[in-house]
Amino acid sequence: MALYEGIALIQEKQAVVLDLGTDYTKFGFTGEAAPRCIIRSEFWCPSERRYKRVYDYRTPEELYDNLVNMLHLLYFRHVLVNPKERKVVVVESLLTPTLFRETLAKVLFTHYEVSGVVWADSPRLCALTLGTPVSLIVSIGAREAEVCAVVHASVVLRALQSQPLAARAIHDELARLLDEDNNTELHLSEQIIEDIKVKTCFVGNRERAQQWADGPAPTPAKSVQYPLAGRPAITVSGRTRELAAEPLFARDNELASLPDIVLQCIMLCPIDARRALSENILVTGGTATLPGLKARLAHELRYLVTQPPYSDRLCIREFKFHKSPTHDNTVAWCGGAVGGAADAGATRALPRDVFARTRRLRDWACLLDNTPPHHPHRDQLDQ
Amino acid sequence: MAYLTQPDYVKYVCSCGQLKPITSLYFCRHCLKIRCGFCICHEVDSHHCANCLENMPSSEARLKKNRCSSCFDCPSCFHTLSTRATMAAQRQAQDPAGGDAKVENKQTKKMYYLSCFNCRWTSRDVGIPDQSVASGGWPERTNPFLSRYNQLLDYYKAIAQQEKQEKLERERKKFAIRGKYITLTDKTGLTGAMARNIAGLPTSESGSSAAIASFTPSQASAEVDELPDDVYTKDVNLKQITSMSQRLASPEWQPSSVSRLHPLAKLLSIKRSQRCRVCDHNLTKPEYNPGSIKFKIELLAYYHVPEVKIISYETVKPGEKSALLLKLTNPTGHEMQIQLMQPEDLPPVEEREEPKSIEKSLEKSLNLEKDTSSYRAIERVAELGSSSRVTAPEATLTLAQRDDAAEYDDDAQQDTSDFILWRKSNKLALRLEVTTDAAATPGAPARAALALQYSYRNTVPPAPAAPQQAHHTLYTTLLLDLGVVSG
Amino acid sequence: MELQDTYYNKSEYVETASGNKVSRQTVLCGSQNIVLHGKVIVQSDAIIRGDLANVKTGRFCIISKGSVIRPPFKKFSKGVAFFPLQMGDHVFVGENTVVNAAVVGSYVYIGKNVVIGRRCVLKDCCMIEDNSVLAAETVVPSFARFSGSPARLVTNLPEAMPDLMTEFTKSYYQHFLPTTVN
Repeated sequence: MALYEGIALIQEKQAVVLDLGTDYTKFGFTGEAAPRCIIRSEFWCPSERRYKRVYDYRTPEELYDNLVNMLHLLYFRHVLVNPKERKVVVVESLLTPTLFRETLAKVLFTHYEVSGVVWADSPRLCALTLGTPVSLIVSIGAREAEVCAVVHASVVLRALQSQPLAARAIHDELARLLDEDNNTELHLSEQIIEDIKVKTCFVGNRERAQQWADGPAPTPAKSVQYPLAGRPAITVSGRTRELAAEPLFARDNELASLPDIVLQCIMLCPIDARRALSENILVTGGTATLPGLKARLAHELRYLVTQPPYSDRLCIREFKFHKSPTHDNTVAWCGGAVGGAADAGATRALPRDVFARTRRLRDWACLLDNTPPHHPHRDQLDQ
Repeated sequence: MAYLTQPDYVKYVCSCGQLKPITSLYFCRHCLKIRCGFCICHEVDSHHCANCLENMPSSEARLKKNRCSSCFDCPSCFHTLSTRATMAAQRQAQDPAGGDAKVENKQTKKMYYLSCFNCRWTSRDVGIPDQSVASGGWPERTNPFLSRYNQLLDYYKAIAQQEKQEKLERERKKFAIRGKYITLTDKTGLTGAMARNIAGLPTSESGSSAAIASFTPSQASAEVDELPDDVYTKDVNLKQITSMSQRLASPEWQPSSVSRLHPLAKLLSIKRSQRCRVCDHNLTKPEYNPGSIKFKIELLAYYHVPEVKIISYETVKPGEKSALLLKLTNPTGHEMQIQLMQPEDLPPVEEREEPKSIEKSLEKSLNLEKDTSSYRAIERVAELGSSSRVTAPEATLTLAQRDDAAEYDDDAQQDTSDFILWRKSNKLALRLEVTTDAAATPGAPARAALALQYSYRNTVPPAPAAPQQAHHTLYTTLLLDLGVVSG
Repeated sequence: MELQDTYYNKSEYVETASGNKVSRQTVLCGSQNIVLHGKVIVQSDAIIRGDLANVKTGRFCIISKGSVIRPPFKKFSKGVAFFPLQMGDHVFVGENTVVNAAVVGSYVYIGKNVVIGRRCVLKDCCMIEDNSVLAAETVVPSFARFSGSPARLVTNLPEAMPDLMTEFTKSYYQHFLPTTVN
């Protein structure tokens, strides 16, 4: 076996794992415990003389150009390998727009001539890092919070939940609260807002959140003077620090808060998997590193499950959480690195010649790819 | 130089349809086409450290994770750290209140620490002991998650192995039934597998099953990391908390406290060679020496395509004519015939292509469409969108070859005509007229497209089999930026 | 865009036999330690501190108005020592820029209002954008374009940089003309 692996190493170049997030891109090699680089998903655009974000695009051509430039930066500035004839493991959300996937495929296959691409969805990769048969992945990224139930290595698609409750929501709320604190419109850049969030904000517990909402207000945490370059320092009050992440837990009639979508996801899953799911929750994503967020989510879940509409439809009373085997923001990447390294023959990769012939990608949303062979309508699809 | 400090006033149309200044274009001598960074293939040539200029073979670079072993970056501001020397005994005398007083031996000994000249961070700030050697020897940290990660890796490798084994066995089964002789001692053969199957043992007894058996899945617990109790009462010291970029600079550790920042080994740089996608010839290839700025191969458009510069122009007004002064330069070592044309008068691409020899087309068909298909995918049609027209004189202009000695004779040749302003060795200034569309909206960018037909002498030694012609007539299109249309 | 002519007052500038054009309104301390290798332009109010250590420039260098060329120092346990400053050919130093570098290679463009920290090494073919500050002991690799404070790599320069710089400094020299008396 050892000899075999040695040969495999010579034959196969170490594949790279790409997790192209909205804010941060994680890039590195399979078989390594951490990505080689975590950089902002932006590149220097010489014609516009500014940093340009990959996700800022209006036309498919612009997206193509963005991806070409971003991958060039990743390959030639950070990881320093030839993209040619090397496999790529792409970590993607299940809800990645088709245009983005297809453009990325085009860039990888035709522009960088990679030999194969493994398209892997992040919930299953996260589940891979746990090793448990059933897990509930709550990933809170830059734009969206996604809740996915992974049961025996397959995602329960109809239970997939997603809401725009992530870093952006926190940033907007933080900017609003800061304006309130300082009685002006500050117009801080996204980077500064992020820095304030990272350095000062935390998620208070449930009781305190209730007190803030209904009064009397609890004693706030210490306020912070945040210095700004070329401007007077701004005040970040204790209330702001504590309440910036509150939009994630704000409930309304639509029941679309973070704990709500977790419970709804469990509710939509097969009844025999529900208990296992609630006892195998993994909270990941960059926003999950916010201090107190996981604890608050746990409290909220334990409280909400006793309330209607969940109390009479879910018989779960216990929630257990996993500790991710790596930093919260690299869990999906790490799963990709493990999966990519284990699958050394890359049997799951889409080879370049196949893509060149068929010019299409498998997608769970496409009937061509998810209709079983013995299905009565299969024949019609194949035509 | 104007190319670097000013906006791009003159843009050329690359064969892939991108609009770029001449400095970022290449010229493939084998395809006789303009290429740009977008439509060529980049390759990593060699690794080196940009700070100490040490070359590193790529195998070693891979082993060291593309990091230099002697240079470090500041974990706080990412500037390069400098090694500072102190005398151990003297240091005690000089500053007794110094960050660490951990001097084991009292004798005077040169000790080294790392310090940042930009933000004043030092390796002593985080309690890294001083080193007795100037370079290297700094403590290395291991990833805190490494052991668990390796368990996972072993587990999934074993599973993949098992999967493969099962697949192999299934195939062997199909095959073996037809076979006449089945050796009973065959370990992985049909009988062995069957025997194990009957006995209810796992299918394979290799090391993989052991890894699978010993693997423990992650254990969930009802406990979650609660907020520390002092979070509501403690003052926040912003200087003690790392920023996002500081955390992400070391993906393995991602420290949240400044006291846990460690020097970052400097990332290596690369020398890059570039290759034409269509014919696979190198366009640029740098010299191996990291400090060298020379190239072994350097097929830049700047050396092969006539350069057009704007000397000055009159403000463009809708429906009116304005003057435009252009400078043309012949960068090649051969005399060049240039004719200005309108972009729409250019012959279509197919006609322009040289008639392919039979060998060449044969080679192409054998090479399985040699990824020109992928090249096509990259190709786009350039959007010129010009509102102005340059009146091109009919005459063919002749430009002398580049002559480095010519700069010493200053006198401009008096070979002027109604549109030639002056001539100086391989340079030529033209006075042209720009007619602007009456419908041009004031305030919109004023652009004028112009095409050039130029003679090019190919200096590639012709292949013995296919006699190539040395003289070619080539075309290029360019877009002139003439400010904005005035009202 | 083609470079426009710059005119100078003939009486203000001294032109040497090797073609150096040096303004009289400059401070050249320790002029015996300053070597200008020919066709170098030193514009008014520039300061070159030859008294600290040797300053050597190559051919076709342009030291713009108000810039300071100052050999770097290094602190030793016994005191401070100054090191010679070397500059290659075809170097442009923008207005009001302070250069404390140890070595400035050839074909280097330094913008205006730049501070080059002490003992920086600028390799051949690099560019420092306007208003940047280069922290002490920075090494700027070849074909790198630095910007910001502290200056960092933004992007790469075209491969034709040596020729661009040669053309630029030569034409700058050619377009640097005395005002005709009329």
